[in-house]
Amino acid sequence: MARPGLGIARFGMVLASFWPLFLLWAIRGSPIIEDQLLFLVCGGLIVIPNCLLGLRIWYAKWQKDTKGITIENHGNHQDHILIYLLAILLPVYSLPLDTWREIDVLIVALLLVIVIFWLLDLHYMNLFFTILGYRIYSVDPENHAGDTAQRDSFVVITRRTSLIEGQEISMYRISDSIFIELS
Amino acid sequence: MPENELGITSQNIEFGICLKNGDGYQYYLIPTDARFKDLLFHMLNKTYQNWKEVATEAAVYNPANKYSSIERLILPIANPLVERIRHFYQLRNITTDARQISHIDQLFAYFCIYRTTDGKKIIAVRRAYQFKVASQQKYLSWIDDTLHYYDKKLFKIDNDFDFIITEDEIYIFRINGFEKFAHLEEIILEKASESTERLGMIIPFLNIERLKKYASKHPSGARLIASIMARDDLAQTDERFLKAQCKDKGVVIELIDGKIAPSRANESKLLHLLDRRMFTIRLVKNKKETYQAGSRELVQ
Repeated sequence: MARPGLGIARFGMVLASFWPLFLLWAIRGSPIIEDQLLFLVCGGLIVIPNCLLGLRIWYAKWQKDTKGITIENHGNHQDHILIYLLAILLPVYSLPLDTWREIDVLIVALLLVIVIFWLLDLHYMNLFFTILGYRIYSVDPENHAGDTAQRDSFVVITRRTSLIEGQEISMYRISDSIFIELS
Repeated sequence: MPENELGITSQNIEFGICLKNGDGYQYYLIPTDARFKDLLFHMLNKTYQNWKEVATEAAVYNPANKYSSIERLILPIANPLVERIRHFYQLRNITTDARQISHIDQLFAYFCIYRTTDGKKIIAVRRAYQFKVASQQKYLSWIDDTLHYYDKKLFKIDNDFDFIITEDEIYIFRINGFEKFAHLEEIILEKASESTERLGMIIPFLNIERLKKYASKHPSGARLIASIMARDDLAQTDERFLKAQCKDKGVVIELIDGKIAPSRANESKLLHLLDRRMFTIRLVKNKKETYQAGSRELVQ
């Protein structure tokens, strides 16, 4: 499903999705980093990537970067947020920050997770979407032998509580595989 | 948001390309900016206006007719000849992949998906000639009082599309682009043998063996068969009238197994006759002139 394109923006969006972790670190603090510096770094890591995500959505709207999506073979991905919270955020959060070596380990671990998320196109896992009432669905078009178009699976973010098979919705493109319906 | 005659605004426009890899074709959507979308909106308007200006009324496309480069033609999308176009129209959720534009050398056509205000889909298609050629040109740009060599890739968009596909019909403006995109020549040749057999079943007094052989080797023969098969009155063909018309128009026939068959080198003539493309005119005393019509239109 990973389709490179908008690479830097997608990387920023992955980083943006880690904002709860940065928030928790900023509150928790570290004995070897001054609070002011930690607030500044964590605040920057929360605000800048999320602004980038907001800018990307605004730009898509400004440029009428829309796509007519047909709902087919869809699935609800709300549980991905839960998996992301339990499997990624909490284990990384629980790593100690008491020595510089531990901080190095944490940065490397975080970078690895970010790169994996980036490569797997999981940049839609942003809790802001959930807080703002959006739901995440996957659409997985079936490809048949002899088809003239390879139709890859993609993710749609919408406030709709359910999707109907065959339904046509015009959505804004966040990346080549993530689309959002603004309402 | 201004709306055109087809009920389209510039809000929901998608641009796509068709790449040819060997014998296969792949479609991709390419993201575009708002200004390009406005241009594509005007391009559709221009195509529709130009198409309407070609003639007072749209004629139904006939594969055996000789046409000029631009025409005002329509064809129902349910026609078996445009199976590929129908399949293309029905494609949903085409992959968006901007990187595919780098395969410009494989570009076969580009298309645009529009949506009417009531949610119907309209697709306009253009064979990529200029679009492809532009990337190989050298360009200069006038910047700061000096000419600068412009070394970035450029694309040249055309003024209008070749044809427009709607839910029920295809509006054909440029025949060549339409036929190439629909792979009409290949489809007609592919179906020629089967169509001739069906013709033999509908007109039971016609021996189709020579016609079948002829149509499978000659694209023009195959096109005539396709045109004949589009008629809905074939079953009412009268044996006596057919023989009389053959005699009048100089089509040499013979009887094989009691059925009418064209003599050697008369296959094309018989097909023209069956497709109402042969006519005789007498304007000079004692002189009968027989013509074959490359294009025809029912007057009465």
